[in-house]
Amino acid sequence: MTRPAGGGETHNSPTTHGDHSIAANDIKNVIIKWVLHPSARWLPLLLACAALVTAASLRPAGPVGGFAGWGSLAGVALATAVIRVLIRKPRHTSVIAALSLVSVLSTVGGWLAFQDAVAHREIDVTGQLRLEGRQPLDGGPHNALTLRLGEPALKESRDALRLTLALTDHDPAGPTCVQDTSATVALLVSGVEAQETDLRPGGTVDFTLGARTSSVEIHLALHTAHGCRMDVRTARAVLHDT
Amino acid sequence: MVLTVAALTATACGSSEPASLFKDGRVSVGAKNDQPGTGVVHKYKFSGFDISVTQQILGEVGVEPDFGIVPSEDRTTVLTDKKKDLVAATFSITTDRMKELDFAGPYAATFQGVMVRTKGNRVHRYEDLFGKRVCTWPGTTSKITLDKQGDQRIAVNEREDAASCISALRNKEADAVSTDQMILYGITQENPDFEVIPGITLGSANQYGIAMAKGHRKDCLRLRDALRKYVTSNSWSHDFSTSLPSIPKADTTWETDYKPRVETIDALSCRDEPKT
Repeated sequence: MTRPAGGGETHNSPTTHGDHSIAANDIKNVIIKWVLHPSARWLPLLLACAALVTAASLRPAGPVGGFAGWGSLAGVALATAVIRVLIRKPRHTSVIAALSLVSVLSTVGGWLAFQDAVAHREIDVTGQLRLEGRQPLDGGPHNALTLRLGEPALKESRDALRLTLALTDHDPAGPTCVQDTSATVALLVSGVEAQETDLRPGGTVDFTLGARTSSVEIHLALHTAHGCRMDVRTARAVLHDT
Repeated sequence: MVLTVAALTATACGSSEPASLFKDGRVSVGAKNDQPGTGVVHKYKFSGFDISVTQQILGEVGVEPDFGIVPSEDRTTVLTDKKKDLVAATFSITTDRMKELDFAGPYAATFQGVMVRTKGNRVHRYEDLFGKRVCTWPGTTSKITLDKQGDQRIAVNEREDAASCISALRNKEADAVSTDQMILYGITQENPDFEVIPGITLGSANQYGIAMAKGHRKDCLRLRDALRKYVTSNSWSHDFSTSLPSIPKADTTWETDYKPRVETIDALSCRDEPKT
């Protein structure tokens, strides 16, 4: 039987019986002994800080939205660890144990959340989506463009591409045609157009990509009024997991 | 005390938009004086489709217009310098202009076309303009469209205003005049020696709106609502065919071609950029 360092309490539960209860109590007592040891006072904080610094240095550039879970858990880990450090003379062993445990578990949970966010984070490929074809487009013979995303942009595999297109007047000083303009976009899969969608200017489409896609090709056909000349621009292209 | 502060705050917030342009029951409106059918002055009286539309929709919001002449190139500055409250002068809605002004419109849509002398005319299609002198005037989308056409085979001849181009065409100093077909058809009503070539259009359709300076969004929305009501009534067709009888005569589908859709009015009215 292990006794806690300063409290004189017995941590065996009076309601448990048999070999399992003895083993559980042993583990519990070991943890409590460790938690209350002076050297363990700073450990949760050091662990939380180390995890935070490592994660921050490894975090890839891009949208931060996917890292909210990691951020929250890291915050909890740091806060509980700081509180643990500030308690110099523990009166309630269970509070100290709980703080240390919550901090360590939050650090571990935060690290796992970080790894998950890195693996499934959104990748901004706006600058890498090439528009091939002559611009401006009209509603007649020059109404088609191809949007292409090469292998470098797809080195990290994702399920889908979210694409927002800007369709603007070629000459903003001339009569506006935006209200009469739309585009049909289709993903080219094995040479066949699929997932065809109509887009209004500023509209967003989500294409589902196949597993291990090495390149993405999207065909665009512009529809606009007679005499209109429009520019097509990628407002935003993001690879993401569904 | 708290209530007083709240009331003061509410008053301050409420006064962020300038006073209504319609508060006195009268507004100054810039219009054209040299475009028969759309905006013209005869015996000190304004008439034309721009004038009819303005009277109708201002009547709907209970305001009287005071028309005054505004040249094409001054249409924006008379509003931004607060010399006029509104401009109704075949003023095309463009993305650039929407950033500077608010429009209630369109109240009509028209392509840019070409007008020639009837006698001895040999212009029937775009290619017939090659080697010809085509007159237009500054401050208009017509000039921009002709320039953008970038066709070196057409000699663009820029003159001061519509009247100068008409004189030049009559005096054979120009071979054609190019601006919006609606304006050109109006001109032919008072100049039977000219004709519009129906088969030639340049650029995209111009959408005419009634313009005002930014900062009067509530007034603009009232005009937009009145315009929607006007366009969906019989009054639009009546006023259009009365002001521009030459168009129904030349174009059997004139209502489809020149009348705006309500969705277009919603997309372009009282906005900083077209609604998508």
